[in-house]
Amino acid sequence: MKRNRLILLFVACSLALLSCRKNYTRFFEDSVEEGLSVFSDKGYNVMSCYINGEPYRTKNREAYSGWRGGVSYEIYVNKEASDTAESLIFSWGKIKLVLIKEKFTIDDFRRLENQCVPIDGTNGYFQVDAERGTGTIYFHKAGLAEAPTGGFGGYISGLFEISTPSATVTHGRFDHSLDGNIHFYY
Amino acid sequence: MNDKVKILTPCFLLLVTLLYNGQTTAQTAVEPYAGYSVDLYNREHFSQINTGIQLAFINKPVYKMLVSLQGSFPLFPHAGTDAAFTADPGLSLSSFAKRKSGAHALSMALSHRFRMGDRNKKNSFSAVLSFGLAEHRIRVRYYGYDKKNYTVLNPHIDYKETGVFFSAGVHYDRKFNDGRLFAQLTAGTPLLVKWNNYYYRSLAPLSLNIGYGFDIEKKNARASKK
Repeated sequence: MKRNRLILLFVACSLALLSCRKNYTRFFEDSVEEGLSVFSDKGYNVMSCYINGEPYRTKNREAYSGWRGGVSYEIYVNKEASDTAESLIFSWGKIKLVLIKEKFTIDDFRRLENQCVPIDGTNGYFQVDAERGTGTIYFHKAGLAEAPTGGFGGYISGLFEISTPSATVTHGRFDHSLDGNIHFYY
Repeated sequence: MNDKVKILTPCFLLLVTLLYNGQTTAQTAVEPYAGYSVDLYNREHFSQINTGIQLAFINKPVYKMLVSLQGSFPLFPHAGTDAAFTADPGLSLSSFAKRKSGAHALSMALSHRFRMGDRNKKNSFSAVLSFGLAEHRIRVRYYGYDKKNYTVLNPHIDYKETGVFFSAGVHYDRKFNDGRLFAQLTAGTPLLVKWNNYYYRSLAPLSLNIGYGFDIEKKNARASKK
């Protein structure tokens, strides 16, 4: 009887600890730039680039069910406000892009599509390992809309190059869908 | 060479050797051939030239078991253009990259050929069923654009996969004094593998091959007759 209870307890604990993982990132290696993902606009949820010649890529977007729960995103997009301006922050692990403007609306976000934006330190900056730098970014796709259930949904894809005092980032490319990882309240 | 090829090729060759050595009295036949195949599975219907050789180690009037080795090479590479973009504000935002792609294949198969109709006729038809192991490669090359400053959007990427396939078809024989002229029309399945490329899939070839078969009497068969 005692043994049966122990088995039952073991099975119950195992079920409680069970969690499933689903990968929402698709990494297809570029045949020209080794170690980097292809430049895509299909929502593959990956950013990759060379940092001082070494390939760097974001971790996979993974959703967990069970006891762990939630989604770990490879990108977060946040809008932050200060007294004088608003910042739109794109965070990809060790790389960050901060766009600064008096006010960011959904239309401003959409207007980034098909734009090549020089980041010169006044309209924003890049950050690599917390070190600030300048560069350029091309948004091939930039879409954002308010979801009927609340929150926002959208997508971004594009290319970038960064230069900081100690790092040169080349051949950057990104392709993401945005849902729970964008905070754009205003 | 990938792991699947390393493991499956020796297994396949061992199976063929065992089957071949098990046949001590029959005549064998060698059938070199060449032909054309077109892929039915990809959007770009790759065309290929086939060359191969078949060895019939069970060679009976109504049934043949054969092992075949075939190489396929691209006949007309597919050409196209894709858009390429840059983050350099000093350059034009977009450009075009020219693309060429072609399919290669290497396969080993074990085939069963069942003769249909009267066995004494000069012309005969057989049904062919095969299964085997193949490696399919689709190679893509981009050219004619500034590779340093531009990046191709959604580029076609190389495909390489090894796996098991099945095929079925019809075989026609015309007897001559020293052998047989044959034509074989077969349709193959795609490789039974997981899809790992967002553009290309494995090939599913519809092939027409023409060749000539020579009967070879095995030494041990001759000895047993003596």
